[in-house]
This record gives sequence, C-alpha cells and structure tokens, in this order.
Amino acid sequence: MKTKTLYIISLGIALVSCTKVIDIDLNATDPRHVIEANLSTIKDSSMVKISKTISISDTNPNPAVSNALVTITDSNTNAIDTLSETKPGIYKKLGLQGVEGHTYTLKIVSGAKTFASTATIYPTIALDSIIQKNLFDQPGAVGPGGGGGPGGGTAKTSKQIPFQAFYKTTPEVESHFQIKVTVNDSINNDIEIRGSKEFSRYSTISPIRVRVKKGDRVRLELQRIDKAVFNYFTGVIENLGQFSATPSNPKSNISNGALGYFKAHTSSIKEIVVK
Amino acid sequence: MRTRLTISILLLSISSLIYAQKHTISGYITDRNTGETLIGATVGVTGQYTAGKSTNDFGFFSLNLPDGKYKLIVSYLGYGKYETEINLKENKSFNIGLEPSGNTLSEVVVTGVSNNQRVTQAQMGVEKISSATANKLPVIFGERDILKTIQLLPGVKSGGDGQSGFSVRGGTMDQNLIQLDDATVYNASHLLGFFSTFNSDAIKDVDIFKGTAPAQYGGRISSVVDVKMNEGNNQKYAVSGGIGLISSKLSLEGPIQKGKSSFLISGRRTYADLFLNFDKKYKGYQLYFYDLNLKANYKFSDNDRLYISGYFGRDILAIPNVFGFDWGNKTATLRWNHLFNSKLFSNTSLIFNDYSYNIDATFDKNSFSILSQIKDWNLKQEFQYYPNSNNEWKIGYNVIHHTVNPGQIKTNIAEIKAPDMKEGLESAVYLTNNWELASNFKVNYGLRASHFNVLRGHDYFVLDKTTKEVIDTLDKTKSAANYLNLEPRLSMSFILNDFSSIKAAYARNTQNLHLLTNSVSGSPTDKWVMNTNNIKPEISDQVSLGSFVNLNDNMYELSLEAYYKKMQNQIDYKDNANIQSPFVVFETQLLYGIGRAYGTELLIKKNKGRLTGWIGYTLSRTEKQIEGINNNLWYAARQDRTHDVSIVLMYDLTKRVNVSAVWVYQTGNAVSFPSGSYEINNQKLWLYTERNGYRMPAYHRLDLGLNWKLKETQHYTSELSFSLYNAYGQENPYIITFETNKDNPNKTDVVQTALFKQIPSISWNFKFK
Repeated sequence: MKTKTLYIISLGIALVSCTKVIDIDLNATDPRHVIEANLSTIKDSSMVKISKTISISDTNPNPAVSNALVTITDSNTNAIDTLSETKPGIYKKLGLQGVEGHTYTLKIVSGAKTFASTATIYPTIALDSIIQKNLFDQPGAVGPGGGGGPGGGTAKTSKQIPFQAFYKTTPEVESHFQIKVTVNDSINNDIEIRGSKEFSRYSTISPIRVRVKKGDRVRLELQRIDKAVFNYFTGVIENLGQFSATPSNPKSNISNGALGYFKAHTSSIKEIVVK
Repeated sequence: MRTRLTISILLLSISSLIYAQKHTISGYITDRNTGETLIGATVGVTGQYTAGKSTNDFGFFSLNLPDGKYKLIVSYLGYGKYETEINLKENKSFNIGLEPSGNTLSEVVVTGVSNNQRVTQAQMGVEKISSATANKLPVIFGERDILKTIQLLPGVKSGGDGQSGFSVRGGTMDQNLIQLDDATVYNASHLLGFFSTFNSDAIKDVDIFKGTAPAQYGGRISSVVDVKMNEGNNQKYAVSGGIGLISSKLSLEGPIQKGKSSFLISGRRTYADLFLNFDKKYKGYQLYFYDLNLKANYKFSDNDRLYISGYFGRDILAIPNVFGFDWGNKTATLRWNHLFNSKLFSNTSLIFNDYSYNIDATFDKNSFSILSQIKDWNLKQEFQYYPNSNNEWKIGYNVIHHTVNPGQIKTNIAEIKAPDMKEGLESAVYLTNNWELASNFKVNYGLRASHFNVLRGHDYFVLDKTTKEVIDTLDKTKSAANYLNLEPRLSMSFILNDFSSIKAAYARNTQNLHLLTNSVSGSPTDKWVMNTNNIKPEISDQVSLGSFVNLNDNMYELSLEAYYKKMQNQIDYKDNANIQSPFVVFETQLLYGIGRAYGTELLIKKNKGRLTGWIGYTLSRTEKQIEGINNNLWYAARQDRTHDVSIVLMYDLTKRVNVSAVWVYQTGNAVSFPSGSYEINNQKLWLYTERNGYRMPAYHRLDLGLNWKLKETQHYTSELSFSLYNAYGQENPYIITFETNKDNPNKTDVVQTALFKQIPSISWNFKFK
C-alpha cells in the first residue's frame, strides 16, 4: 500500500525520483548449508537438495554440496533409507515413499557437520475440483478482459487468470497446505501456501493467479504440510518481497544452523485445461 | 525519606512568606499591536528586593513581594523593554502591551527565550522556536514549517528526506508527544511527511522538551512538542496569506471585543493535482490536502477567559473508480482560564482529538474498504499557585478516554471478522514546583502518578510464551490490565555567574500508546496500539547534565548537554514480522526488551547582529536488547545515528532582503541488509546475518533561501520567498533494494532510489492589517 501511495504522490508532485546501482560494503559471509528436503507419499517424487549460500558480491551460482550422507528414518517402523547422490547436490532413492500418519527423521552428514530434522505426514485432504475463474465474478458480466473483467473468462493470448480450488476440511481443525502449480508440466509456482484455520472464514481456498493461455494444462497439487513448514514458507514469501519491517531468514525446521526445510507431505492433484 | 524531604521543602517555602507584609503584582503581557499574549516574557523587579518571573502559557505572571518601591521591567526578545516605577502597598494588576521593536537589523527574533533565561532557568533539555525563526529558513515546496525547523536542533533527528517524523534523543517517532493547544496530534504529517500539519501562519510558538519535561507533561517517553496557536489580533482586522507553487493559504483575524477578545481562521490547500489533471492519463486523479485552524477567545470578566481552538485537516488521494485513500486529524480544545485571585490561576481544558484513515478499493466488481481510527476525550485541570516570588506551584490532573479502532473492514466479497476495537482510560495527577532556593540555585521538582486501565468489553488474547501464538481469550467482562507508574522529575541549575550555569536533571516518563510502523519516518497507515495484557507501558529513566554559557551580552549562546537514558518494555518486531495485515493479531508479531540511549549535544547560537543562526552537533548511540532478536545481543535501533550536524545561517543583506542556508549531515539509519543469497525452490532468497547490522549511506544536504520584502507599510506588507532544497543535488537514498542483475542472474545489484534532487520553489506572502 505504501509503495503504491508513494508512487502516486511522486507522480503528483511531478518529481523524477532517481534510481541507480550503488556499491555498498557488505560483509562476506561464511558459506552455510541450504537444505531442501521433500518426502512425498507419491512414490519416487521425494528428493533432497543440498547447496551453499554465497556472498552478495559473488557472481557464481550457489555451489552444490556433494558427498553428503543423507538418511531418512521412519520413526514408526525404524526403517532407515539412505539416499544417494544422482546429480551434484541432488539426493534420491528409488522406491522411497512416505506413509500417512508416520513421523520421519532426516539426518544429513556433510563434512564435519550434522543436520537433523523431523516432520510428520498428516492425513490427505483431497481436492474436490478446480474452476477457472474467480468465484466472485458475476456470471454474464462482460468486461474488457472477457467475462468478469480482467480476471476471468477465456484467453487467447497468455494473461493472468485466477483458479479456484475446492477441498473439504474440518472446521476448527488446523491444517496447512502448500500448492504446487504446474503449467504444461513445468513448475509455475511451488511456494504458495494456505492455512485452513486462519483462512476458513473467507473462502475455501483463495484464488491463485497464473499466467496462461487457452489450451494450457494447469495442474494444482495440494500438499498437506505440517505447521513448521507452513511457517517456513510464510517467511520465504516475506523474504522474497523485501517488505517486512524486520527482514530475516525464514525459520528453518532443521537443526545446527542449516537454512531450508524438511517437508513431509501428502498430495492431491487435479488438472484443468484452460478454456 | 522522600516524604520528609517534600515536607521540609514545603516548610522552607512557607517560612519565607512570613517575615514581611506582602502584596502581589500580577497580570498579562501582550503584543501591543495585536493583543497576542506573550509566552515566556520576563517580568522582573529591582529595588529593595530583586526578583524575576516569566509569563505562563497564557501570558500571565504573578509576583508576590514585600511592600516597597520597585522598578518593574518587562522584556521579551524582539520587543522594546517596558519599565515603570511602582510603590507596592496593595495587590496590583497590570496588563502590559509591549511594542515590537520592528525589523531593525540589530534585533532579529531568533527565539522567544529572552536574555539569559536559557542560562538561569532550572529547566534543561528544552528548546523554544518561534514562527518568526521558522519563517526565515529555506523550505521545501515553498511551505514554511515549524516542525522541520525543530529537526535542526541538536538531539532532534529528522526521519528522512522531507519528513515530518523525527527522533529525539534516540527515541522512536511515536515516543514524541505532539500537541496542538493540548490536543494530541497522532500523525503530524501531510503528504507522507513532506508537509507538517502545522500551518506556520496559525502557530505562535513551539516548545520542545527532550525527555526532561516538568510533571505537567506525560504520556510519551522521548519528548514533548508543545505547539501553541495564535489567538488572533484583538486590536484590528488583518488578512494574511501566501501563494506558492503547489499550495496556498489564507488567514483572517480580528477583534471580537476590541482589546479584549479575538478570533483567527487560517486555511491551507495544496493543488498539485490540478497540474496532474492536465495530463489525460491522470484525469480525475486526486492528490491534495487541506487544513483549517480556528481559534477564538472571549473575555467574560477580568478573571475569566474562554478559548476555543480547533484543527481540521485531511489528505486525499484518489484514482477514479479504483482507489481512494484519505487520512487526517481533527482536534478541538475548549479552555477556561480563571483567576481566583492574584496568586491562583486555573486552567481547565476539555479536549477532543481524532486521527483516522479510510481506504476504498475497487477491483473488478469487488469493493473493499478499511476504516481505522484513534479517538480521545481528554479533561485537564491545572492550578498554578504563586505563593511568593520564589515558588511557582502547578497541581493538576488529566483523564483521557482512548478508543482505538485498528481497522474496520467492509467488503462485498465475504463476511470478514475484523479485529475488535479497544478502549483505555489514562489518568494522571501531578504536582510540580519551580523553586528559587537561592539567587544562584533553582530547582524544578515534581511528581506525576499515571494510571492506565485497559477497559473491559473487548478482545484480549493470551499468548503462548515461546511461540507467541494465541492460545486463549481473556474474560471480556473484566478489565484486561491496570498499570500504575510514579514518575519523579527533577531539574536544577547552579548559576555560576551572570553568564554561565551548570544544570542537572532526572526524569522518569511512561508511555501507554505505541505505534507499529514499517519505517523510521511514518506512513498514514501506521498502527497505534494501546497497552494490553501483553503490551506493558514503556518506561524511560533519563539523567542529563549540561553547561550553559551566554557571551557578549547574550549575543552568543553555548550549551553542552549529555544524557543517558534507560528504557524498559521496549517493543520491536520479531523476525519477518507482518504488522500491516489487519488479519494478524498484532501482539503475535511483537517482542519486548530493554533499550539504552546516550549522547552529547552541542549548540552554538548567535542571537543578534546581521548574521544569526546556530551550529548543532549530536554524538549519540541508541541500542536495544530483546529476547528473540539478534541472538539476544544488543543491536542498534533503526533510528540510531552516530553523528548529526546542522548548520543554520541567516544573514540580513539589506533591511529588506535576507538570505539563509541550512546544511545537515547525518549518519545513515541502521538497517538489516542481506549479506548473501541462496536458493529455495529455484527462487533467490536473501541471507541475513544480524538485525540492523548495516547502515544506510550518510545523508547530507544544503538548502538555500532568500526572503525579499517587497513592500512594508503600516497597513500592508508583502514578501517573496525563494528556496532551493538540496542545492547541490545530493542523491540521498530513500530506499535500497537488492535485485538480480538482468544480464547475469547470479549477480546481485544494490539499487538505491532517491526522491529528490534540487527542488526550487517560490512563494509570495502578504499581510493586510
């Protein structure tokens, strides 16, 4: 809101605000481990990625961390799965699959450092359906962007379209989701999150806007996650936006100062072809 | 121990009363031409006994003296001296009108503080600025502004480019109590701070107390900015005004009963949006503010005077059919001054103030609006008692009912349960005495007891101690919390000789309302919150020590003050806090801890001659330590700035033309910049290492001004003012962001946005009288 107001005010006073790239003396940081660990109930879609941070002045990609020992232990069965490195920094195991209701422990040994985390897979909450436009657009209304204004209707060229997903949830039971959106099999967005207790008052699931065109296949994957991961991604969104009063690192659920998350989740998937 | 001391002090004051037959001289000191009362004018007697007093906020003085022959001398800087011989045998009442000394080169009004009062008065950490000073300085957009002028004083730091928000002795913006005729102004800025709410045509003067104010002031821990409105000319009608590039103003004043009572109406409006509308793209866009000051006083009898003053201002910002945003303050003050007798003066005020903002947004066919409001009803009663020429007692109470509505949301989309409003009752009683113990030792001591009741009937939450999540709601039928604080105040001066003194002060202040803001300088949507069961009153204890010297017949003033301030129940935001969303229970985003601020302030001022002005320098540090932030280590507060320099020069080229220059230099604010980056789900995230561990680049700027008096006769004056803001075009960063380089996705660009380069402006001011 403030930036918008400021923008209009700057316009109004007919000022030319000037933007330039500057040099700021920033401390170089010791590289830290970044762990993205996903354990899915869908077979073979689990994966652990390990990389390191770089300083602002670095111009190289974030380095991958190889030769780590990565294990996931099922606390309910005490079965231990060891993941192996398939590409630099990417660790997988054929046949690995999470089970609803089980709690898992992730352990990573990289050099002299050991990182650990636990996560629980909560029962699946299934997607009922997806519809292509904003629920609240009035039917039959024709605006400049097609039915229901710029947000709705058909699309020949690619534009922002809202999709509305429905699922059943038990009121007053707190549940958390992450939504992965793919368009024609490529990931469009996988940091969107929703919390049901907080949002149940407003709508089943608030619309997700995706840039698509007619004929595109849009797939929504509703992943049920635990609260720690939900909070982690809330922090990710704040961090990306650089709009928090107190910018900081999202609070990780992994021990020993690692950045990143260990997410164990169920999935429910629905697909729709853009009309 | 304390009671015994108070009693012995009382006895001492009483004993001095007894030894001779005594009578009282009392009255009002005014400007002879306009009838405006003069605040802080010196009334002194010499003869068989020497004593001096200054007039109170209503221009009243009272001196109780042994009978005998005296010479009464009244003086006020910028006015001719008034002298008369009196033979005191009975109580005497004087209403004295001083003649302004005109715009002679030698007696330029720099401050309202006369002679060497700055050296002798017990009070320290106080500055007084008159409208006359503010009017001489260069201005941004051609609009004179007293709130910008106080930011040039040592210990007072500006919030940023063109901002009205400021920090006093390491405090945050909300720790300043800004009051207009006793009414609290919750947001003192227009157009996001480029203008303040104070129209210089309607303002008499401003006192700023840097945390050591006497006990009649309370409610904020850093400072009190006490703004008083003009009363209006009670001799004849006058019209004055000004036309600038983007704003204009007009004032009308005149007598209701000649010589006794008067009124003043003053209005302002900006019209930048009219230019904007020339461009078809922006047709129908609105962007302006207006404000209106009103004041009237009526004298019922020699002993009763009624004042009504009010302020109404609103900022409006709109894009047709899409977005509307307006905000502003309303204040009203009804006051009754009553003189019981020549020694007992009473002031009763009933005050209303309201700050609100309203946002309307329309997207597609959906509409959405937020209304946020903070509203106070305030009753103040003060008795001023002048038992003898050595004591000046003030006893009073103050009750404020606060209503805070953080944001009422209306939308046609869905039912939204907005956060509940809150109510609080803030009360205080106080007692303070200005005591001249000996001719070279003065003490101002007092005690204020303040109480805050978080009123029942609203939602208050119990939070989990570690996660800060809401786990329960308090019983609505009971008050959520009560807080009582005792605030002792002491300020004293040891007068070494005619031109120098040493002063020391201690003060405790508490604060029951707090502002949640994303920035150092403020935005209209910042959220005021009250104490709750979780948020406790902020407390500060400040000690200060100073040395004051006036040289060359008060032509030069030098002062050096040092302070150390300890603060409790300080509020900061947890990592990645969201304090803007109306859906988030704000207390879940807050953490509490302690703070400390210390520094020294140097002021060198030249009051007389063709060249006047001052140099102010502050060296300071402000830190916080809060559990859960920065690994529980001390960190710099956002408003912490090591160095702060202001140089203000005014020079009279001729009788009609004066030029001025202001240069400021400040260390940049403390900020949290990222030190590195990493990737999560193929998105680049910033790596932060510590809270406020970096600095914005240093800020510096030169402003130049020229005032040219075109015409000056008895009935008409007109003046042209030219200003050049940021004369050498320094690009001071307003925001710094980190962006991925467009050509190399692995490279990070640090991008600064500066708001202003040079801004020239011109305005024409006139007065018919």
